[in-house]
Amino acid sequence: MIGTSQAVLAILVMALVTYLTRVGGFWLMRLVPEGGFVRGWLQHLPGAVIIAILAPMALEGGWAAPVAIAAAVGLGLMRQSSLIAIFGAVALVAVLRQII
Amino acid sequence: MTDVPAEAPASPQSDAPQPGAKFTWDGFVRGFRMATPLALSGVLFGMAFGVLAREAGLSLGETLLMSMTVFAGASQMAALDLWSAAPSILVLAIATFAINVRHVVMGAALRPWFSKLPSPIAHLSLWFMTDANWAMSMSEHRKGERDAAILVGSGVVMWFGWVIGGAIGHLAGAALGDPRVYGADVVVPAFFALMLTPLWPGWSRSWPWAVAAGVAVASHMVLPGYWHVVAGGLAGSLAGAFADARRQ
Repeated sequence: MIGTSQAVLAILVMALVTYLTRVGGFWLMRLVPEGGFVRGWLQHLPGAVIIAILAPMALEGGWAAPVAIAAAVGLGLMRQSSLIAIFGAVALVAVLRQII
Repeated sequence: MTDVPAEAPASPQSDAPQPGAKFTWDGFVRGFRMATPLALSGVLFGMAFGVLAREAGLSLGETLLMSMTVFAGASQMAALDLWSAAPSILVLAIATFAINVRHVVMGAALRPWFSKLPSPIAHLSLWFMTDANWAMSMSEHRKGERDAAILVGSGVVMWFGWVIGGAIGHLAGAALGDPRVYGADVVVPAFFALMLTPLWPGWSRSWPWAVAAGVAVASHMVLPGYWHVVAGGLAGSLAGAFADARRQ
């Protein structure tokens, strides 16, 4: 079922590189002293990284992503469960796509 | 699974934020449940990947091997563009790194929490780290969650969705239609936006987010892969940290 050994080797190298990216930051931070500045920086990191993933996503591909983002945040602020917030946002986009 | 028996009460989020880390079956199940919508969208995108992988010439075994061991959608899609009968391993390794390098900053943010776990558990947990369940775990951590098993629980359900979807796609071929019809393409942005809301620092302290967004969008236009996430994430977080340091 599995073909050439070159293809399998290529996949395993991809897997190794990917795992190294997953543990790399965790390892690198061992070298950084856990001082006040670093602690503060790590506090800011999740928000900044998620924004950096989300912002280009929101600007590409028309209205669907901004509408879904607004709906999910709106439902989240209304204290709906995350399941309802996400499926609500997805359903809204699916329905709007049928109408438009 | 190495699970430490749960000694905490059933509603850990109601507790006041406490330092430390634990790793329980409870946390695993909580993560598994929370990431179920992501896993369902992962099935659809896994199917798309399976269809494209077959067209690119990967066998079913190779497709599943890649989904099971790499478990990173964007880099797998990119690999298909570079695929041939004898793919260049160096080119694939470089492309994979350029796309997955964003994991490095994500893993760094997990250090204060996951370094309190036994090392093998931390290293197993990181194997299941993806953008979405990392964001979910950081968001829950900010709300007081200390159970690190939510990362593994959410990662495992997403892993199953991605692998099963890949198998269906490869077996069924192109007869599946466009996942966008069901809105599956907006699950991910909706989820990230929802995970951001507990991290909101308030209007007066939100400008580092604007820095992160601006740098990410600008560098997305010029940088390959996902370097824009590294650039935007570092710029925004360092801006915030320097502002805090000056304030003191």
